Amino acid sequence: MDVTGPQGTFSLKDRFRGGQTGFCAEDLAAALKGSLGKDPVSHYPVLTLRGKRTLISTASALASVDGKIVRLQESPAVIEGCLWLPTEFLTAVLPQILGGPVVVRGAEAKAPLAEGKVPPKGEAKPEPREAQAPKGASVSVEAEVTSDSVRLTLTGKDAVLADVAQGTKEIVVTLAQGGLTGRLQDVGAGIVDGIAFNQGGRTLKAALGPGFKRLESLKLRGPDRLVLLFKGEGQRVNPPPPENVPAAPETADAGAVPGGPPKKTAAFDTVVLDPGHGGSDTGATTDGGLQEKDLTLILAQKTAAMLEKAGLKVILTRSTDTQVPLVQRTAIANYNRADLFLSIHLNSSPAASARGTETYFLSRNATDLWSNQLAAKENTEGAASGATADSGLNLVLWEMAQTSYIVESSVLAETIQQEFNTLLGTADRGVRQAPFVVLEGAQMPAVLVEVAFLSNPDESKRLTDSAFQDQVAQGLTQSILAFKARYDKPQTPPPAS
Amino acid sequence: MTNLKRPRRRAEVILLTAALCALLASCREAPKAPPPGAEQAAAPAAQTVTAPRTLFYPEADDMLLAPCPVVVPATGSPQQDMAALIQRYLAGPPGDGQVQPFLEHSTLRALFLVGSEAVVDLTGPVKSGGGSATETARVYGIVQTLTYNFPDVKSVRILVDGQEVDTLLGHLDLSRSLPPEPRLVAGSAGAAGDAQ
Repeated sequence: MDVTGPQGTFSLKDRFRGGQTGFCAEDLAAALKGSLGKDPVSHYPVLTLRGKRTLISTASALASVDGKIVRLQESPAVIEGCLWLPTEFLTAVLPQILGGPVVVRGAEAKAPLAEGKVPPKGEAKPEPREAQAPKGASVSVEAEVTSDSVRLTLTGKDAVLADVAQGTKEIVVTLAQGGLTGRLQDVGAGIVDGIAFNQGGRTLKAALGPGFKRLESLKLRGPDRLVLLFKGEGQRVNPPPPENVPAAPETADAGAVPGGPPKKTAAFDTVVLDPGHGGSDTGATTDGGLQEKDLTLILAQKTAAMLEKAGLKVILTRSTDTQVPLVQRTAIANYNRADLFLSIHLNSSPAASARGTETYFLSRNATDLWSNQLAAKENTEGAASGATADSGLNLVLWEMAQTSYIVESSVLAETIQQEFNTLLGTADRGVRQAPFVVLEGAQMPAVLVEVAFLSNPDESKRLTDSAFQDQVAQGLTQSILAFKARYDKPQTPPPAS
Repeated sequence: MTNLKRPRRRAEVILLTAALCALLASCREAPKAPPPGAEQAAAPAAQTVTAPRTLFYPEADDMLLAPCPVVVPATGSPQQDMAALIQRYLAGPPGDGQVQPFLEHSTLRALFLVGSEAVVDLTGPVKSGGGSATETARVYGIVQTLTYNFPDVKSVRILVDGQEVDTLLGHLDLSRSLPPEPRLVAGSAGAAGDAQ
């Protein structure tokens, strides 16, 4: 394709992705004598041209030119070592860099979508540009009510792009593309007094109740969705009508089931167990040939059987000796809307004397640092684009999802430690915190338990004993049921006033 | 009220000091019995400037990080001094109370500063051998050592062979810069296993 702009004309080699025309960012950088690097905070690619810095999201169809957010119709992606950008990048982003119009010939250039500006609080809500969205691009809407929040989830086939405008009495969500589908149950009153949208329409309105305090938004993947969390003092709910809950998929492969995520009741009923390591990643090993990956799978399977007997749906992130990427493990839990994520590991130390059980939840120190870096960055970008700092559209990285569940996760970790102390009599190494990859993306209470030390000769021997494995599974089952009992309690609707 | 609290506070201070001394004593380098006065006599001839530093290695049983005092060369350049400190760290603890979390032949490839972030580039078998306790000790041993000795360093990013890595042994997220984690340090408030 030929690109003509204020700097003259240059050529870019066409690159295709799923039938879409695009080009490599590397080629554009070379043509304009710029550079392509990485943002130190988000790790997103940064294209620097003519002294202007463009942050490119590979997780969604967004780019940020010197802090000003521009939406694209197609998500950039890394393909065969090339950072693929859609052709519309040249007409939507490049003019802002070069300071003049850009014309593309020899390729189909698409018109850019609206910029992602969010009106400040109290401003008039934006009107949708189209009454109906194009066919086949639906975004399903679901609402879930907890004791202190209302969670609204918009799930699309691709990244859900939306303007979120917060007024004093309502929050208006306007989709950039796609039509809204779904049927919401009565969400009660208090934080959100009602949610309304037209089937196939692009605008959704949530009426704010007196208990509303703040709005948090998360962009998540696997599947792509936008989660709006209305936080407040308390939501009054009516008991939900009986509902047939579809059976949970049996294996991790369930994450790819077409037709969207399984339906979910408000009750605690789904647990994802994650047997650590697998495939070529053996985890810790012993001179005698024991491998952590084999033992964690046995422990997870035994625990799953006990939990299922107790009436819970259990999903394993792997049920065979296969390698599952760490981020995919939590994605499986998120997709299946699990109420709890438990990663099972065995420890190893250079000191053979090290022994006992320890349970980890995500480190707040690390997440605080990342949050601060991200917040500072977003505030800077927000100021540059004219958006307010407390606007509803926060581009929160999905990796930060677990921060909302840290308190519950710490309770779960304590519960497991107590159960192991009383049931197994293993040495209590206590609850610890660290930034473990497998916990970061979980949208539910999530912990990683190191059952015992494979490097300790005594514990290593016990771990191969079937009776001890049963005891471990029993300990984990009791912990989860104890946590479920605690979790279920606040779900009980208050007496009608 | 103040008078009543004072003896308890004094007792706490004494206990804390005793605990710190015990920790320090456990990793002190075994004396190599130089002749009396030899160190003082040799120093001016070698023209070597040194500085006292503290390394943090995991204790054998609970794998919490404990301080070990050492003396390492000092150049006045923070970057070079940090590199010297990490090279010393990778050589292993001086005493018997702590364990070396790194495998033999793990070495420092490069170290550089980006603002308040120290980037530590390691090479050798740093991605093999061990579980989460080992991985946590490796990573936070370096993070704690650098941030403790160089207060301007607020976080540490670990690279392997010049490349960013997601994790060393399949647990910790190394895709971002890590601040110190005080709960992993022995004797600190909230450390695992501490009596509350």
